[in-house]
Amino acid sequence: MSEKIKDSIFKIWLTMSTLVLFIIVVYIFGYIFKNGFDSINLEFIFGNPKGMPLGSEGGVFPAIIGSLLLMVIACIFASILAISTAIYTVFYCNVKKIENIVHLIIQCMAGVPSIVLGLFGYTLLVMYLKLGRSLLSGGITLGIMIFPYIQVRVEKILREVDKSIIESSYALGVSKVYTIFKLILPLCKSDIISTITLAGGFAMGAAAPIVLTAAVIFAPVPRSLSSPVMALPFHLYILTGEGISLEKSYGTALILIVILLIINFISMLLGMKRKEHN
Amino acid sequence: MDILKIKDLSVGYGDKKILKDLSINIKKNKITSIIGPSGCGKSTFLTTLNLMIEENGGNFTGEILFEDKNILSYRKDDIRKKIGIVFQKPAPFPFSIYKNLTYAPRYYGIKDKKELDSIVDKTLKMAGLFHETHEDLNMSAMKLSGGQQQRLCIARALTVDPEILLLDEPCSALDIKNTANIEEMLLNFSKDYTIIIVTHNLSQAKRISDYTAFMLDGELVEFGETKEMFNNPKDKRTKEYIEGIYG
Repeated sequence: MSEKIKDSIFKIWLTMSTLVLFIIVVYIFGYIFKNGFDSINLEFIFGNPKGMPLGSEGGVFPAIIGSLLLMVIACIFASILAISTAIYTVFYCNVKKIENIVHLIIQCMAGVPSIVLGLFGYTLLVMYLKLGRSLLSGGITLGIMIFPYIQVRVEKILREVDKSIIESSYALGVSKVYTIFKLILPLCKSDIISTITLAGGFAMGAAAPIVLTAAVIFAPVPRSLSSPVMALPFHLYILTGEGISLEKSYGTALILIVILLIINFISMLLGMKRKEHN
Repeated sequence: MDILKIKDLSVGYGDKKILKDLSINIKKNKITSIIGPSGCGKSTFLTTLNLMIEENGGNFTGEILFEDKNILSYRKDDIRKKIGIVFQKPAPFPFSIYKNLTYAPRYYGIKDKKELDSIVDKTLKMAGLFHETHEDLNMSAMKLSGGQQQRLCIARALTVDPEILLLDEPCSALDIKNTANIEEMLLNFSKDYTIIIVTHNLSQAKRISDYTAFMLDGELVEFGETKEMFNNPKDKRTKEYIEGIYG
């Protein structure tokens, strides 16, 4: 009897936790939607910040484009490194010790606070390599931030490929490189892209790494990789922090969240496509 | 003619020895069965012949001569092209049937669509899969039945035109009808290929093979013509196994 009570208490506890989480999420979305919805119009999405102080009127278009560009650069930079590292650890690294060291380094990287990464990007990229506060500096810094995330997941995806398929490929006398590029990566393609998209969303929402490396208050749409940019999280931070316009902050937040939702949705669709395939 | 000459072959994983001092000559264009209880090293023997053992972290000593040349003097990829293997569990690539069969030819530089098509047709016909599949070659190989998948794997092994085909209990997961299909196919193959088949099924060995080798605990106990061996085993252990005393 007491086991039965324990069981039901546990069940109630789990249900309540899920419910609380659900309520929090709905509340956040609802709250931002309610407060931000009034600011959303075509001018807000496609216009430049205007007014005195700047940002109290007008739109967030440069920040939207800036955020998207930062995300793309971060994703390209991080995924090239992360996929290569994952392929190395899964298919080429025969020494367990080296593999463990690689994993340790990646775990340490994942633990670095994002503002510290920002500082690192500032000293190395902005100052030492003279890239300036730019799209490129910020993109790379964000790339470093999401690298561990992508690497860990891609490594897991690669390890889950059926060993017998890989063996069958080697048994045909086919080289490792061909097996990786023509068999394994095509098989994992949608899972990997889904991972990168999710990581891109994560990069897009981060403000700390770009404060010192890329963002300049109310910068226009960047013309080149070396131009400074504005990004949605930083825009939000300035609007609220400087007390410019709370209403526009909510509008910015809403746009950011909607973009992130779209990104997550795409990522989810890609994941589902993979499952259908099998 | 002996296409494979194996002398004093010992195979192991680390310190663990699986095969001990095995010597055997395999005749060209004949079917050789390898029989023996589970865990006697039959599969290990097979995977050693095309160096797949190295992918699993095993190592071997002794000599394997393929057409009188040590297999270690070939490039690993070349030896695997010449000595194809089909595993116990069917493992088609999760692509279309067509792509399964053009995967390896493309690697060996065949780009011409017509040539690829003819390889697909030829190997499907050889594997007896042509009539069931030729209407929809773009169908995912995963949608085939178990027996069809195994025949596809055999077809895939044939796409690189091997000289020897190794089969590791290819019928263990199949029903009687599919087994009969595969056996018939193997009998047809022996004109063009040398076949070494590991099997649990003694009557299968009896039905299809010209030669049979009996292994026990990593050793080759007896090797000879199939009829001779089943009717008149020389070793007491072979006799006991054939009569069903070992698992």
